[in-house]
Amino acid sequence: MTALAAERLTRRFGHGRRAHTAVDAVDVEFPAGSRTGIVGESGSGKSTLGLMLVGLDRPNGGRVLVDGDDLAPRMRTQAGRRAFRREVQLIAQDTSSSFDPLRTLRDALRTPARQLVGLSIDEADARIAETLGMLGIDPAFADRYPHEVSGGQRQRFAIARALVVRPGFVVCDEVVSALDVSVQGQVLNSLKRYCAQTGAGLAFISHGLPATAFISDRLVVMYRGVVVEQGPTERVIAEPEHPYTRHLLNAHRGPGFEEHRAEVLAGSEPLVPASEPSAGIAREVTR
Amino acid sequence: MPATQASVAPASELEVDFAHASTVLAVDALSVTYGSGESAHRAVDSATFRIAHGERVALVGESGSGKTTLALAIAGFLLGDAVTIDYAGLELGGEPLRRGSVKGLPQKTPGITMVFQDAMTSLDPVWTIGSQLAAVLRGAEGLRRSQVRERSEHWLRMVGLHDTERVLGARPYELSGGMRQRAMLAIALCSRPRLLIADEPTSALDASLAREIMDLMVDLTEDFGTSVLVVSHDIHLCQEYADRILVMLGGVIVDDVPAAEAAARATHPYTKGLIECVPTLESAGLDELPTLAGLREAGAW
Repeated sequence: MTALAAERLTRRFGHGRRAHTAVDAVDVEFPAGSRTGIVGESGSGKSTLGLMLVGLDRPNGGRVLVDGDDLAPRMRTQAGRRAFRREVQLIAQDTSSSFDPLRTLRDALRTPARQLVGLSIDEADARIAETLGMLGIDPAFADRYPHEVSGGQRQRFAIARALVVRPGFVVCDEVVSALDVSVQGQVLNSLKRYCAQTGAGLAFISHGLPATAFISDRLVVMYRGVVVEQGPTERVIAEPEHPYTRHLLNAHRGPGFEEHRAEVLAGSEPLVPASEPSAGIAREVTR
Repeated sequence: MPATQASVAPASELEVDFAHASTVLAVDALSVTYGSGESAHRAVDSATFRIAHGERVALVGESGSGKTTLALAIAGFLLGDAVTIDYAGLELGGEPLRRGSVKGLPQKTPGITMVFQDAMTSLDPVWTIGSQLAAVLRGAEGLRRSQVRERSEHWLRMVGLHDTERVLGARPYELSGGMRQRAMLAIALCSRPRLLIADEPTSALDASLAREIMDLMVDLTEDFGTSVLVVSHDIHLCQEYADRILVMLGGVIVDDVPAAEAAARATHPYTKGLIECVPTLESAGLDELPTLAGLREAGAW
């Protein structure tokens, strides 16, 4: 059981006039055992927030707290990093680039089991078999190379690699967006089951609101680097407080989206920040 | 089981009566086999369907169901020794489809253009959007260099890219995902195809952007009377934007239903399964999502 928290977390890219603040003084708590969904459109800063939570990107301001302690000093030593990686794992979006093409999937799963948990090869293989069973993956696939399995299988192996160390907290960045419905449900069910059985916490980053709503008990809505709303999932869906949350819900509810967008365009419901046009309506060239 | 033809009665009086409209695409018993001998895999098995003038047809199914293979076979992108395409008939506007290849590379089929899921890998990274658009415009309309600029700007404005100066000079990586997909639509539609094939045009985009692109595609194709074949795994989106849904399972078209009443008129349990398994906002309270694997094991089909 691990608790994470973002405290005034800020990340800027570029300098001077080209500077872009991807994450702007974000405060979010991820209590131990809670499942938090982070939603927002492309470019809202949710993936950058995820990378900082797992220590793969350094904030320009603010800090990440792990069970109340600052993460930055822990990341300076190898022992600190390893202890942290055993506790907190990231599952990334693009699985074709997150496996070493020269090693089999079993080999890729052995590394964290041995280096982070300190298991022997036999123990590691037993742990891998147990994890694959938990996720309903055919163990025969483990001896293949990453390019020899489908995208859906590879994503399930990426999840297995994160869960093989039995982390207390998992950060998922768009893990089901690239999967089709047949696999999506299985992946979501097994993630939710793992969290329920082990009491692990979860930060589920996704632009797919329905999947996020299913898996999380709390929702954080991001827009242009800022958290515009957060609260219990059922409350946010039933009674969204922020106009942007309503816009997002409408996009998923289907009919009516056009009218709603016309309303937003007409300026009757200003989105935050009020001085700039909505990212969903006037997209800028990203340089 | 071959699909029923386009003679399905219109769902409501408000709907366009496609049954009596002229047929743009007629596919008759089309099969695609990869490999040969023992390792042969039949990806598409006797697909038969029609698409009427201005009609939007969605092809849905899971990964590996053969939907992309069918789309590629119609577009003429499947060539070579490793693949065998058989059909009893394949006609565009009443004429057999013309195919050509140069040095083994497929040539564009006249009258059909295609948009792919990932605009980043389907646009040339070293050419500007302007030069890629110009190449198609010059080929399609035989325009002079001086006219090309004006037509390019016109097409970018059509797809909602109003900052034409900057977009024409930009390379694909300098644009956002949504802008790239819009540019792709401009390139696909500027040659005025009779049929636009879109393979998962929105699955790399977030929900609100996906809707913007679908709205745009529907508006433009309606204006030009272009027929659309959209390949997607998102049956909910197709229910909203398509006129008719073809459902593929294991290479076979198992269902052909009017989009608006897909759930009610589905004849195959797999179609109902596909609709039920997409998470919705109502899934929030569930302990477990229904899955196609679960339904399959329960013997639904």
